[in-house]
Amino acid sequence: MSYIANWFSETWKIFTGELREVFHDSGVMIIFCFAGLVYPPLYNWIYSIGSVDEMPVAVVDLSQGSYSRCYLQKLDATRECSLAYNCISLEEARELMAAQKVHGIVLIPSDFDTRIVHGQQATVSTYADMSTFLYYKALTIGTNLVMLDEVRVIQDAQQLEGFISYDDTRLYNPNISFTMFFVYMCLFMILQQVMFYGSTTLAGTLREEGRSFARSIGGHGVGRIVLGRGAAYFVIFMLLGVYGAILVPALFHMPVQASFWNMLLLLAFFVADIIFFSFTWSSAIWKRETVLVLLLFVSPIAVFLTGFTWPVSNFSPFWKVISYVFPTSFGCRAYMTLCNTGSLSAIAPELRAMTLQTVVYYALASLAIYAENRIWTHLAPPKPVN
Amino acid sequence: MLQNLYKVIRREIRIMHSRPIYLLGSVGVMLAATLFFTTFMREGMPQKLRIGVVDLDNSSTSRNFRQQLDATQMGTVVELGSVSAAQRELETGRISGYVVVPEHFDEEVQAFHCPKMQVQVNLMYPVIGGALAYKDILYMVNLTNGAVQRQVLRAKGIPESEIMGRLQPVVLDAHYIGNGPTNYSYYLVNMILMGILGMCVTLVVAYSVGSELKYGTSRHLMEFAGGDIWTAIVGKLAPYTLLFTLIGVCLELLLFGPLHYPMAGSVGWLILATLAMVLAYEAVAVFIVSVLPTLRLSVCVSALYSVLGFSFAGFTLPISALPYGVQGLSLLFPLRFYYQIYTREVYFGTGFEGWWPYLLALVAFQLLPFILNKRLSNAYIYQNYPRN
Repeated sequence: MSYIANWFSETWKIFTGELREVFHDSGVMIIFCFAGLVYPPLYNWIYSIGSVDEMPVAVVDLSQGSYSRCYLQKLDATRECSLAYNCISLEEARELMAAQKVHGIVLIPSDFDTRIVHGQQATVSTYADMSTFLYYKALTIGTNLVMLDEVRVIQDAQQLEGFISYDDTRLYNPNISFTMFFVYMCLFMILQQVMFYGSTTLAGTLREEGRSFARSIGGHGVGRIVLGRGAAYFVIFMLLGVYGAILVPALFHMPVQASFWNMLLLLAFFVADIIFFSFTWSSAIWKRETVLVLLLFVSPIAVFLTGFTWPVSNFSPFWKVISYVFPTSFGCRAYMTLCNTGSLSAIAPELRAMTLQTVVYYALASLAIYAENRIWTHLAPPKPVN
Repeated sequence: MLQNLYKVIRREIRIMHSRPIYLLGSVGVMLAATLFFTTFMREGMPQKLRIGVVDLDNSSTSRNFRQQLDATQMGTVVELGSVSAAQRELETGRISGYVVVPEHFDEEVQAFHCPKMQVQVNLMYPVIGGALAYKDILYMVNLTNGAVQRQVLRAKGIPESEIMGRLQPVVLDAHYIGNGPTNYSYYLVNMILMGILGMCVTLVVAYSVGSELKYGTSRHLMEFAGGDIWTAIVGKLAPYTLLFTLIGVCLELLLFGPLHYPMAGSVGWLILATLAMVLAYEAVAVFIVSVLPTLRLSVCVSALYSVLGFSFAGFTLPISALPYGVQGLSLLFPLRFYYQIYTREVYFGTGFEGWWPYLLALVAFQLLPFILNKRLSNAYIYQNYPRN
């Protein structure tokens, strides 16, 4: 009985001690407050429009007939494109594009109307500015929609019927806007990265000052340290998580189908996972500033490994295995799916994967503390790696 | 003066030599990042995406459709038993889209009843997969439709030369300037790696300038520099400028050389822009340390700052598609101006006259250290800020 009481009182001491360390470290507080509190609304704001509408397009109408005029008017009416310049030649339009005044060119050749009237195939040439994916997308969608509409009008006039048609449903993000897929991914990514950089900075400081949490124990008590410290971060990150992943999306009117309790459950799985993930990797950090200098570049890599743009099915086996290292590889997908469908059963595979990750990282984090303790007590403290 | 500068440079090279963080933070990080980004999207466009087909008809026409869809470069067909199963697979991102071939499809086609296929795509996760699957499915539906229409037109005795004019009176001839194969990595890899380079410059330089304070070596440095802060800073940064510019040049030679990234202009101009960008990020880092002459704070702030650069450069989302309130923030990031030069040179080959204002903007970052040089100088001499 006294062992259990003792266990709890020591864990409590470690828990409060860790919270004190966090709140007394200005660097860690900057990371937690700025990245944890400011980034979620900032990213929501940056990506709140998220798509290119009314993109300026230059047109070169060499045909000047009724069909070509009709095509261009319809193009101007699309959400995607807006006719900004009427050019006499392709050369003139290209100069406008090189100066980035327009991001697309539509060229209608001189025989356009004649060919349509004679029942022959007519061509519209488009030139897309490929400097970002969204310019390409806007021009492609705009010109294709109008082309399909023209085809229908002309075929109707010729009384040629279509034989197979389709009903299409573009789920969740019909306009292929950045807001939707990027922001959801980003919110969970922020949680993981803030936890990782914050807690490793702190661990590095403690080791640098020779007050590592692994020093105080005598070979046992590893569980108390891991769980006590973990509980401190669990409290902080559940709060940051409710704020960043539930409150902020609601404030910005992001579509979220899931109930509050389902979201909270997912958050609990994810937060436990990122805590032990950070504990494990932080054991390699022995100086406070090194982690940011050496490992900040991992953030954009972790972003791509979530598979939010490039599909996971097309990862090479090597990068697929590497993606299993990060909790976000499962967490971001689960968060997105839960927001879209609202059902826990849809994210069951990700929850299982995160549970497995948590268990593995818990074991590794405990082992690391045990090993560090041996190093501190039996050998000379290792020379700090700078 | 020059002698002092030389002494400071030699001192800095000794420091770089004695601590691995400087080489790991520059060469090591860039090697790892380059390895990742040049191999991760190697295909350029995702191939063989998983597309679901729910075939409720099981006729020769529907089987034919399925096989054709499977044979496209982009798609590989996953056969699913029911619409609800397909919907579940789609919601969880295991397939990018699915198409339902309705019952009696074949009969209705033969009877000219115009049956409807149902197409569903997930444009959320993963977004590129969804968009491409959508394109692939629609292409196949239209092709199947065209094949039926063509048979009917032939039966009506329309001459072969006019059939295409009837089937598809207007076609698009699309040209993609600067990225013909619509390769996804051409959009991203160069700019992401340059963004990571900018990040490394900010962090390593902030660390280097700030650690003189943390380890109390700044007076020693000022002695070498003859008490002049500019000699100290210029001498300290000279080796990093050379190192980071060299890394940038190697990166560009790799991408535009063996990896055959398209380039309409000259790599020489891009190297000039890289040098200007490296210098601009160094100026930002010196400014951050001048504002916060404590290593821990300046490194944290440098990290928070440099991460935002990716969003504000404009290569993922154009700045014009940002809300007005945040558009101005893009001016704070040298990567934004590098991207302006990069677009004009790489995609359109405009040469110097097309982008010199942006080069000037990068040079203007050099004014930043002048604002607070007195503060940094005092911090170096008096060491009157907390070391941690």
